[in-house]
Amino acid sequence: MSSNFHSYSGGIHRGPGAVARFANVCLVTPGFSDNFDAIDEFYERLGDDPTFEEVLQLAEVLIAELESFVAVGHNGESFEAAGFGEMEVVLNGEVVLKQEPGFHSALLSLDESSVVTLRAVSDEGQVPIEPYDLRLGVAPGGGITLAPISVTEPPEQELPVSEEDKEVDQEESALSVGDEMADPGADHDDETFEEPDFILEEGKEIYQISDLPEVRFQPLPSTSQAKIKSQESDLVVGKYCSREHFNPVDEQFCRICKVSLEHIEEISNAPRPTLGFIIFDDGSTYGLDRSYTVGRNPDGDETFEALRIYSDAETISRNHAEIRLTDWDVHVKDLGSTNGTFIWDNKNESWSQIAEGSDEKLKAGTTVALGRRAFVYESIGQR
Amino acid sequence: MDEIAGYRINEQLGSDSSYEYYLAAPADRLRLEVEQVVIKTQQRTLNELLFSKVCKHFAAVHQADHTYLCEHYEVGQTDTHFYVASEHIEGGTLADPAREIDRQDVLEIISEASLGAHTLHESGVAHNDITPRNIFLGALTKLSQVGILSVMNPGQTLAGAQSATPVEYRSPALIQGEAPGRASDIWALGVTLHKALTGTTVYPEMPTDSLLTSVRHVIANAPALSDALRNGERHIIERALGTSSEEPYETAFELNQALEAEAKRQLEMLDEQ
Repeated sequence: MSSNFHSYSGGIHRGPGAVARFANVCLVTPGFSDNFDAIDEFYERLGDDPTFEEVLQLAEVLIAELESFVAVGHNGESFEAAGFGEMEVVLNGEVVLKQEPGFHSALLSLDESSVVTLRAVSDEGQVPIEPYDLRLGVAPGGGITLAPISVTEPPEQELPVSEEDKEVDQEESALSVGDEMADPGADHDDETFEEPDFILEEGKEIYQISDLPEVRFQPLPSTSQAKIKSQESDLVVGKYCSREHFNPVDEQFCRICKVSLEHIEEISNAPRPTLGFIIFDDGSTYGLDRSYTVGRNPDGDETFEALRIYSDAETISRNHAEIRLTDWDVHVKDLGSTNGTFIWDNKNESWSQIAEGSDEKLKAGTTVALGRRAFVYESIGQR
Repeated sequence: MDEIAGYRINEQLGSDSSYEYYLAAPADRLRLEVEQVVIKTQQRTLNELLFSKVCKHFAAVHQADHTYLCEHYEVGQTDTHFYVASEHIEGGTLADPAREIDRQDVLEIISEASLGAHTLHESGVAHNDITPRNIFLGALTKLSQVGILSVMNPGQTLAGAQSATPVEYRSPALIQGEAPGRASDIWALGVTLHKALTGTTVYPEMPTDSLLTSVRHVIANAPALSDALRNGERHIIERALGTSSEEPYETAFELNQALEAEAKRQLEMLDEQ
């Protein structure tokens, strides 16, 4: 019988500690401030495809330096868990290997529904450190949950993250890690905050942070993954320059790197990149990766982010104007404001008012006044 | 201001267009064994939804390993003010250190700050306000004042003309609307490293007459690194800023590893001399 742990891209995922998956063994080496070099040495010496036995032998050699280690693998006859230090192995909710002096092991009886968690634990009261999902590409050495494991044939495809996590949650409520994907920078949408798992006491205005309901976001995507994730906006028609910057079809030079687009004929339908930013008279700046409703206390929704501005002279209406992205253009629309929305006309050196409900396409560098507040629209690559 | 929500104000640390910062004796209810905490406060109260968002943000921050991160103790609001109470570390900040720091120290400090950022990223949160001012120098380096700009005002990329965070610590992509994340924090760490090693910004020609011209300069110009940098340091900063021919660092942990290696290399060179 062969084991069926799947080796995801990279195999070893290094944070302050590390978690790793090889063909026949999964392991966790929790990181502490003084064992980083030992962890590096351990994985360097392991090579690309170690057997379970080789992993255990090397861990035993480095037992003093590593401080903690835990592995689950196939020893040729059956599945086995082994480790030392601040770690534990949980099988179907029951701890089968826990922190005890020295190197110790336990045989595991697994079937197709088994859920195995190997993880670091804090030395203060055996508090488990939550597991992390290897497929996110980052792992601080907290732990790893394998669920479910097929002991007959490996699945042809990796299991979807959310489904797997759901099963883990059902099996081990103590390990519940929210499936919520953190928007980079915790720019969380309102729906996220209406989830039942984060409810504050009505009327209570002061919270010690350690008393707040537990919240766990998934790790932020790595820099290259974040670039892919950022490409999830509206689709627009355009063309790529030789350096793969996306541009409007009628552009002669790339907005970003200025290379000529004259001979590029291939037209693509791709996510709209950010169109620039608006900068208010007080210097506050907003990215044009989204549309906004601007006002004193504006109503935001899924399409228009609420952008709240203040005016001492009380010249801003509650919902004053809309800044809307359409294809490659930025439009401004007055929403029936009391004091009006105006565009500075450079040619005539005067303000022209936008009629209520009508729409004006903004040129790069245009100044727009909302009551007695103003912003400038800055476009990428256009001045 | 003498008091806010039971915190007895001792000293004002500074202010910007959004917040005032104070050193204060902690409120008795926290039962903290520290003499002082940092209070970041704004004369504004948040509606229920926004207050909930901010609380959730700090609840997520709380899950991060705080070896290289300042603790955030409390978030709250009175009838007139919103505030966050956080750990204060004696020893000054990288912007105003209480001791002399040399090149080796700088590499070590940014290396540890990178680990602080990394653990925060692993908890799903971008710091979004890394500057020398927000790096405390105690026995261990600690990143402080996790940013809440993008929580309070989604889409906002710069706080304003009087912001305590200079424009150059915000990456051009961030200013133009890219969500804060690992890349923008790594950028800020790179700029902080440059500033601490050379005393100069990565935009030495940046006009300072208005924020608009400063922002335009950052958007339109590539960072210019100082000749005072050593080759290894230059290489690290270029990768952090994404201007190297090599791929940018995927995580702040990779930056930490590069800084540790460079510090070790420089130490070995010193020994050889």
